[in-house]
Amino acid sequence: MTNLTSIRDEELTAFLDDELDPNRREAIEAALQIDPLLSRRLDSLRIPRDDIASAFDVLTTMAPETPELPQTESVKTRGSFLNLAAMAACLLIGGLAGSLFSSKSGQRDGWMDYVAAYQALYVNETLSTITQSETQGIKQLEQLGEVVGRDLNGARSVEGIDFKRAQLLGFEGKPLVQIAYLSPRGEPMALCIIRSKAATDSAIKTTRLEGMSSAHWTRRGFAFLLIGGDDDRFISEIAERVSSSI
Amino acid sequence: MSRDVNTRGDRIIRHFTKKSSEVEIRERLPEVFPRLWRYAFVITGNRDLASDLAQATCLKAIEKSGSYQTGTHLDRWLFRVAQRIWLNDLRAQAVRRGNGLQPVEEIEIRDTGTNTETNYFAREVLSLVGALPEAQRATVLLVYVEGFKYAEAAEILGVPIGTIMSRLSAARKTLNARIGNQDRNAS
Repeated sequence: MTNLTSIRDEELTAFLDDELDPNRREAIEAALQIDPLLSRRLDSLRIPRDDIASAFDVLTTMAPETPELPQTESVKTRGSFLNLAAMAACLLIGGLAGSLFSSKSGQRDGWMDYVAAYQALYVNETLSTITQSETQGIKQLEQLGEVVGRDLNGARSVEGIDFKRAQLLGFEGKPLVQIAYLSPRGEPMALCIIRSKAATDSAIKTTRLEGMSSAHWTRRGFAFLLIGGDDDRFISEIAERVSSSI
Repeated sequence: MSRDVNTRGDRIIRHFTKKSSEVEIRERLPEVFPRLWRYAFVITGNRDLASDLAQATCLKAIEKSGSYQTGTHLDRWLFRVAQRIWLNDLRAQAVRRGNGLQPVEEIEIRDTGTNTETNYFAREVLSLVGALPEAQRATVLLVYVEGFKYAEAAEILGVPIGTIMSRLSAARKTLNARIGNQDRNAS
């Protein structure tokens, strides 16, 4: 038999709130049958829960408008995030694309990290399945050239790599052209071009980004990044050719 | 190379997680905000302080969005953030300024024009709950108004479940003595 004096008000409260485990609940129910004092104690704890809950409804109507929230770096590019996420989903790797828009801006060459993270998601089949006529390719490059204000036609025929497609991306509100190629070994490569504030040209530098070979340089107000594969010498050769033809 | 890939994958996923958490918080905040404000009002006992606390909570939520797991209970998470800000920061300021820690101010309930008696009772209930000590009224709001389980309320308030039980027990005794159990629906 349950020791009645051991039933505390806290337990009776939990009993009323249906928060007791079944054994303890049954014990209290049994005790209530035989102990009028316990019933009175229970009654002294009863409250009209529903009425209390509805009395508080009015307070939500007194709340002010939701405050304006400051924009943060990580959601500034939300529009492009959605577009690019949709694009990435087409590549069956949707979720991973988020890193492209995470907050690394403020670094001088932040855009290259984003491009590299995006490029890292490319596989051979991303590009090898693209079938595009020569005129389509020329048209794409002409349109993109107009957007960024630079003649890009030379990008279609770079000796040593196979042009696949050109498309417009965006970085912090600035147009970013991505031209995709396949290397002779079938590795996806990309040439990315964005307007640069750099007043002077800088020579080709090779570096590793996201484990891939890359070369970057600036020329007449534009920054270039060529990336893909892991052959540093090959990247640097192609970079030389591209820099002289675009 | 495979280590690089793993590191890269982790980083990408982390960035994506933070981003999607923030997006979800921004999207769902307007829907939760009135309840957040009500919670702030009940613990601060004052409209201006409530608005300050609710706003500070929203800002902190964006700042700390990485610790919110998408698809979980945003309301509970926001209440917990509010509770921490209140205890760590605003409460001490309120005490110094001489307000706060008071019973909830008299609340002007908008007259709906339909049932004056209902409004009278609602006002009575609000002022009785508002007269409870701060810890008790916060717990009453979370469990009896918001409908959280004891364990959920304990997590929001950062106290053991036993504390939730004793606060509710004390609150029930006080409220019962004032509004009693004349209501047949009392439980």
